[in-house]
This record gives sequence, structure tokens and C-alpha cells, in this order.
Amino acid sequence: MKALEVRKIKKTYSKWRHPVRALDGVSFDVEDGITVGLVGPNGAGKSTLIKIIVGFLKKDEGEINIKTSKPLGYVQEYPTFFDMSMENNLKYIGDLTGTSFDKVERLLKKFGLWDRKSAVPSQLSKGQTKRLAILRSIIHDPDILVMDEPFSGLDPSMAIDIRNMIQQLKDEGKTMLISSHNLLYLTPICDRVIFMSDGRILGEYTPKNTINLRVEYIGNIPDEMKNYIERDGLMVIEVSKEKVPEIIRKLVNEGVEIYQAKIEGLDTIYERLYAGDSHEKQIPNSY
Amino acid sequence: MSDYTLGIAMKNKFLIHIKYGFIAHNYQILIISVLSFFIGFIVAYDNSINFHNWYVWYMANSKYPSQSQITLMKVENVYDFWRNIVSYMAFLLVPISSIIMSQYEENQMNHYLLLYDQTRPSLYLSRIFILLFMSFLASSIVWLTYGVLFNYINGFSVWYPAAFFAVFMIYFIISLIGGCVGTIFKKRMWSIVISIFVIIFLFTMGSNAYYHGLNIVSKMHNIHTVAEFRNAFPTTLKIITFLSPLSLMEILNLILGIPQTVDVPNNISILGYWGDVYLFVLWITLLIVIGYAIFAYRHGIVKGVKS
Repeated sequence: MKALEVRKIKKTYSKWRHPVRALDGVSFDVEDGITVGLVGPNGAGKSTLIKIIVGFLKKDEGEINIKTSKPLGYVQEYPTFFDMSMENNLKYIGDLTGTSFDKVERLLKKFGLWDRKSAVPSQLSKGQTKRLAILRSIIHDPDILVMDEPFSGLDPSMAIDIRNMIQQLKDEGKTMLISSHNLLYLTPICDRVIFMSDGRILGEYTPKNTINLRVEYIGNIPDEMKNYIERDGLMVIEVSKEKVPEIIRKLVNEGVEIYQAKIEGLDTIYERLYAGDSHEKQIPNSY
Repeated sequence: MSDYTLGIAMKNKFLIHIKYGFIAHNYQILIISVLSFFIGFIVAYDNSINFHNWYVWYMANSKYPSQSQITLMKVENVYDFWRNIVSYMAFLLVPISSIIMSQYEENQMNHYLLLYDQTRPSLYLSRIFILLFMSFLASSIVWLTYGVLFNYINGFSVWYPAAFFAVFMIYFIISLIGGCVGTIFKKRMWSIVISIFVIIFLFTMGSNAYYHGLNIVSKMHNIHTVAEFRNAFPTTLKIITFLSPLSLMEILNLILGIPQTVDVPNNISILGYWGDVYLFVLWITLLIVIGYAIFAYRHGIVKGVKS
């Protein structure tokens, strides 16, 4: 069952009469109980899309359907109620959603923040602030969680902590949509990854299955596989793991001499997709 | 959801927002309280000593001291005190009110709250309630400081609850002006700067329009007092008074009971007691409605997501 449907979303920011297209007809679905990653460089439109999904921004065109009876859980990049203790940050949302204070205590203990419950956000590390943001979003036990850059600005050990926390939520069966430009931490927890750039979807991959098969060869490649030739003597094929033996067999049967075949992961696909795509669109900060 | 249950839900959420609003804004309220006391103390001491000096002089130089003259001077001292204190406190109340309204706009936490509570009025009105409480607290502290100090120095009581109530309303209007600026400009630093400019503008425009206007009119039409001006151009005076919320302070005259025949230049009370009260209410309503319209426009899209 689809928990979230995103259909042909378009969004253009205009500032001082200079329109910037942030989203250009983005469509995808998130099925119940799975975790989907939104990946792309800065300015790809990930945060804009997330903000439209949670209702923080108005879309120009398109449709979003969310199938849940509870409010979404939303993890913002940094914001908190900065004059309130960590405990009150959680109790505020707990009160609004009718959650008992026992649960606040339980969550703080479960995720190792009980000792810091009286600290205000300015006294917390970035990792603790992120954990606070995640706890605040799950306090009412939502079915669907939407996270905006949960790993940004964190050192590796903190990022792994956050990833483990998200993994626990995944194990509980939450449906999650997570935007990040950090594949290293995102890939292991995602069932599906969507690559975005310039407000469009470049491709969708299943991290556990999708690989790059990199073949260095001598000989004539069959016509139907010529699209994959990167340069003379090298071809790169995006394919699922199960199909690798079949492709190798076919190349050998066609008389192609293979002297090296290497399997690469999603990070290589990412590198290839975004080669030379380091520019950032000037999306106004106020959005 | 029926209207009744929606009403209960709104009331409950309103109370929750107030509870956490006080926790979130406790520093601002504390700052206002402490500064109200210090500023109130300084101005109250100055005014009380002035009255004391006048009283000693008057008793020493009058063969038949008049009780009504003493009462009048006492009332004018009260008026003078509140006029000064409102001017000083405006520069504190306005930026702090703008911080209260803008600080969770800037980081979008207000919008975040509306994910869980889609009754926008409850969130907005809870912030207004905090402004109301802050205005009440500030005016009470100043009132108590002045009352106690004046009594200590002169042995007279100057409580005048009606004057306190009027000043509380003026404080609230000033806070609402700051609140409106804070709602419009969601960047906190900008809202502070702009709110201070707005209050300077209102002060300057109010006094310029009033005194220069009176000067010009007196030369053109041979009018020398506000009472004559009111008789000659009642509508113009009403408009000037209404446009400048600080001019509402002049209404203190009537509320304090200074006889309208006393031709002090500040005597521009125009609509009578209840008319002046309605002006207060009109200003308060207008500022709350304008603020809410902006707030609702900014947060009007949460319900756009189908679920």
C-alpha cells in the first residue's frame, strides 16, 4: 500500500523577478513501511520537496497524497524551541498530541538523553540536537516520518549514532522519507534511493541490488550493449546483482575478451551522475 | 469534528500554547520586569521629589493653602510621571514584543507546531496573551514602585486605579505594535530594528504633527489652545489622535479627572470618557486583526496537504 504519493510537483521561487525553478515535475511513491532516501547535491530541490510534503511551502502544481490518520513526523535540519529545555521541547509536542509524559521519559532514556533533559538546545552538541529533533518527531508515534538532512554537520561517530537511531525506527516499521547528500550513511538504511538534480529525478535505485558492472575488454561489443561503452575498452553497466553472470556469459559468447570485471556500488553511480554538477542554484535562504 | 468539540480542542491547545509560551519567553518577561522596576524607580523618585519641593514651597508661601490646588498638582504629577514612563518603556516593550512574535517564525517552529495543532487562532492568541500579561506586569511594577515611593516621600497616596488601567492599555497597544512588526518581519534582528524605528517614527510624527500643526493653525486662524482647535477642527483632531496611538496617552487627562476647563496643552481628550475607551478598543482590535491576518496568510498552507 502506498503511504505517500507525490505527483508532478512543480515549484518556482522568484526573487527580484529572477525565477529559479526548484522542482520540475517530481513524481514518486513511498510504500508503507519502507525507507526512501532523497539524494542530490545542494540546490537539487530535496529540502523544497520535503517542505512541500509537510506543508511548509506551497506547491505551484502537482498533488501530494498522504495516507495516515496521524500528523507526519517531521525532522527539521536544526530548529528547536531554543529557550526550552530538552524535556520541555518534547513535552510541548507531547501535550499537543495527547502523549503521556511517561513516554517522554521513556524515549529520553532509550536514546541516552535522560542525563541532559534539563539542558537547553544551546548547551547541546549537534548530535544531541539532531537526536532531540528526531525524538520530537516520533513522540506521537507517527506512521510516516520525513527527515531533512539528518546527517548534516555531524562527525562520523555522531552520524553513525543517528543512523542507528533511524535504523531502530525502521525496525519498528515506520515509513520514512529521508533527504541527504551523504550516501555513506543513507544507503545502508534505505530500501530505495532517489537521485535528484536541478529539481528533477535522475533515477531510482535499490541499494541492495543495484551495482555498477565495470568491464575492461578487447573486442567488439554487441550492438544492444553499445550504449554502455564509456570509452574504448571500458564499459559501465548499471544492473542488478543477479544479472551479472548473464551479461558476462553473453560478452564471452560474442567473443569479447574480458581482462577485468569490477563491481561498484551506489556511490559510483552517484559520482557519475553528478560529475561536474557541483554548482548550487541560488535559492533564497528565506525559503 | 462538531463545533463544540472543536471549541474544546481550541481551548485546550490555547492553554498548552500559553503554558509553553511562558516557559519559552521567561527571559523576555524577566528582563521587562527588572527594567520596569529600575526605570520606574528613577522616574518615580524624580517626580516625587519635584512634588515634595513644590509642596514645601507652596505651604511656606501660601497664606491659605487650597486643598484643591494640592490635588490638582498631585494629579498633574501623576500625569507627568506616566507620560515619561510610557515614552521610556515603549523603547523596551516594542522590541521585546517583536522578539516574542518573531523568534519562532524565523526558525519555522510556529509552522512546526501547526503540524500538530491546526487551530491557528489558538497559537496566535496565546502569543497575544503573553503580550497582554507582559504589559500588565510591566505597568503593575511601575505603578507599585511609583505609588510606594511617592507615598514614602510625600505621605500622599497616588494610586488612581483608572490611570493604571489606562496605562496598562497603552502598554498593551505598544506591545501589539511591536508584535505586528514581529509577525510581519520574521527575521528576529530585522524585526527588532524595524520595531524601534516604528516607535521613533510614531513619537516624532505624533509630537511634530501636534505642536507644529498647532503652531501653523494658530497663525492662520488665530487659534491658540487645543480646546479652540478642537472646537474649530474636531474631525482633524480626531484623525490625528486616532492615527497616533501615543496620542491616546492624552486621554489620561480625562480619566485622571483633570477638569477640561484647565487649559493645559496636552488636553486633547476628544470623545468623552467612553468614546476614548472605544478608541483604545478599536486600536487593540485593529492591531490584533492585522497581526492575525498576516499570521494566517503565512501559515495558511498546512491544511493544503491531503491526508
